[in-house]
Amino acid sequence: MSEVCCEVAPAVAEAEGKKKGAAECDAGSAAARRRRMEIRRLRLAAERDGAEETSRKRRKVVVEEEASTDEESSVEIEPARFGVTSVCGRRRDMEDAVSIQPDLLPGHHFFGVFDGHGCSHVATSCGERMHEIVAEEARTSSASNSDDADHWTRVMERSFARMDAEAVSSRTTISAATPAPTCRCELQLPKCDHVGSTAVVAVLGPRHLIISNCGDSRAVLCRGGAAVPLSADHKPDRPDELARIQAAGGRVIFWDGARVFGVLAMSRAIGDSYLKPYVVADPEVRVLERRDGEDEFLILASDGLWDVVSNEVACNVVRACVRGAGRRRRRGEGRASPTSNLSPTQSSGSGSGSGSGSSSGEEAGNDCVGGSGSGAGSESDEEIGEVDRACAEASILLTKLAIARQSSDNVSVVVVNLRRRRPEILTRPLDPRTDPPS
Amino acid sequence: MTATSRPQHAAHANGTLAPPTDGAETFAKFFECWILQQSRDLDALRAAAAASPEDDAALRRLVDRVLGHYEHYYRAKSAAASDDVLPMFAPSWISATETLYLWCGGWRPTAALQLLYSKSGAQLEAQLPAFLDGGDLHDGDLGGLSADQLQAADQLQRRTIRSEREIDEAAASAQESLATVKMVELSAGGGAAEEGMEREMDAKAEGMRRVLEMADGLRMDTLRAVVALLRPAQAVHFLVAAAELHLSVHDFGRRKDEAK
Repeated sequence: MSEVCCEVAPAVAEAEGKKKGAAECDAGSAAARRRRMEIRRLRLAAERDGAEETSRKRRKVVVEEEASTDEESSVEIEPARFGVTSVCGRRRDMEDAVSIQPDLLPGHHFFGVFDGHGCSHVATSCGERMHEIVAEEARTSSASNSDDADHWTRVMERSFARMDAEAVSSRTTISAATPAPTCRCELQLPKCDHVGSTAVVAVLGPRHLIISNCGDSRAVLCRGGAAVPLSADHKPDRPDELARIQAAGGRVIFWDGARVFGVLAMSRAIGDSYLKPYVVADPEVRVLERRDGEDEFLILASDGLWDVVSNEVACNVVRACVRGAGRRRRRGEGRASPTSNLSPTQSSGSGSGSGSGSSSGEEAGNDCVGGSGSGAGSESDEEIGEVDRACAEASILLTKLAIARQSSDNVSVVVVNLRRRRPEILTRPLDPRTDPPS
Repeated sequence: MTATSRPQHAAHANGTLAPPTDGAETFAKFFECWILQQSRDLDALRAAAAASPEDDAALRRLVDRVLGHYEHYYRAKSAAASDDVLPMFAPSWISATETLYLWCGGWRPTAALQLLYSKSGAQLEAQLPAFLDGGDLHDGDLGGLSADQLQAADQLQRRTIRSEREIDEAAASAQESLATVKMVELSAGGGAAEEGMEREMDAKAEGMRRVLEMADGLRMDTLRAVVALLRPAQAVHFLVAAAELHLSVHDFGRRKDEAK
């Protein structure tokens, strides 16, 4: 129910979070949001008791009024709708981290996949900190044209640089501020210099999709039936990367693939201070205009997936999951699908619509399988919810496929639903004959 | 089966196995009877996997019976190890090939998870073309692992890796204890130290027996936990894969050994 009301609510900004310090930001805004959600739920429940159809129309008005007192922003909010799966797979150490932060900024959701190497702690701190840094940078440089491509490029470049600086200095800062790390290397010298992480980050705004990448994790957009890679893997033998490394005085040696100084099989990474300046943390940033009607899904994944599953197959699998969900609904089977058995703890922890706290990203970073950004809503939500469930199913299926194909790495997959829910869909009575958008 | 030429005198008609008596010789005999039991179990499991639609309760009984046979194996092994642990770390009843894959006196527990992933992967790949063509995935086998099951497997794997590492540490301590000051003195003392040596080595072997006990415990726990996260029909597929892998590697190794 809470999910439904959020569909039509205008932006609810983290007004309280803005005023507080960065450390309190998450807790404050999450609590505030939860309170607001509770108020809305109560109103909705009250209205449902009354006349159904009229209340549906009124509902929007009520929520809008309420939200506008919270925040002056007029950006239309859209809940984060995604599936996420992150498993150890066939490796003995888990070095991937995933961070999903619905409503990180008004109307903007944050998705990040970080694939660590050497140890897990740089990836872990990326999972814990990157979104906070991005939020800070976006707020401090907040221009009037907040969707501007240059603005976002600057924000992401600065964020990656700060994240890298934190990762490199994490030995001192982390040990002072937090309890003993649980990772393998336990931040011992000098190994710690040999630890790093990829970072592929997507910020999904109302009109734009911002992809920032550093390393060999990848973002792929399913758009109009095609698989469009939105990031180019930073491999040391990529001609421009090779030229950059050599210009800096570095060497790329083929030793089980192309490696910087025969060591690191990627040319950019967060951390890895001993390979600076040859391995850099500068992201490549792309700012895309969203195309409604064409944009289907965004897939973010570590190379545990991409090593064994092509961009095209991945997109086909997601589409097949959506088609399958539509077929099952038309047959009246509802949720009875092999992979629809979503873990309740995971699915409840995410999605702005559920009004849950922003700790979801941390949960996701630790261990999660098949978390869904949006659980099943009311019956009128069936068709919409099924696409969201299909995203969760797709993230599971892609992960299983990677494991099936003997991927030797950890596997982390995030599937983000890019189809917009239009308010009219919510008020339209459910027509079981209607095909899902495909 | 090349490995099972001896008479199966220890197997009762009802399918349960007689407890072994003393010594490595006896355990070797027990093992061969157990191998026979496992191949009978495999036949039953294969038949159940092929038959559909399944009766979950009947499948559950079959799965429990097969698990019971594994438990019986580890009870027998434990009893034999308390009698004499030495043969358990130099087993005569397995082939040279199999000794390559021993971890603390048996199979590596995380191999059960790898086996689950491999069998599940093969069954998923078999379904994938039809699924991409617009068909449905069916969940009758391991190709249809749900989100909860994948999560449970992932958690189990991480837990099992941690337990393996703990046991590795215990094994390290037990093995490093060979080179204590006492042992240096005893080993320098010649024949006069015979009795002291006996006492010391007994104590150290007891340390290794405890390692074996922990490792066998983890093996059985992992097997049980994998089965527990599966539905009965899926568990049947997993137990088929486990028995097939064990029996075929055992057979392969025996043939290799005989060819020498």
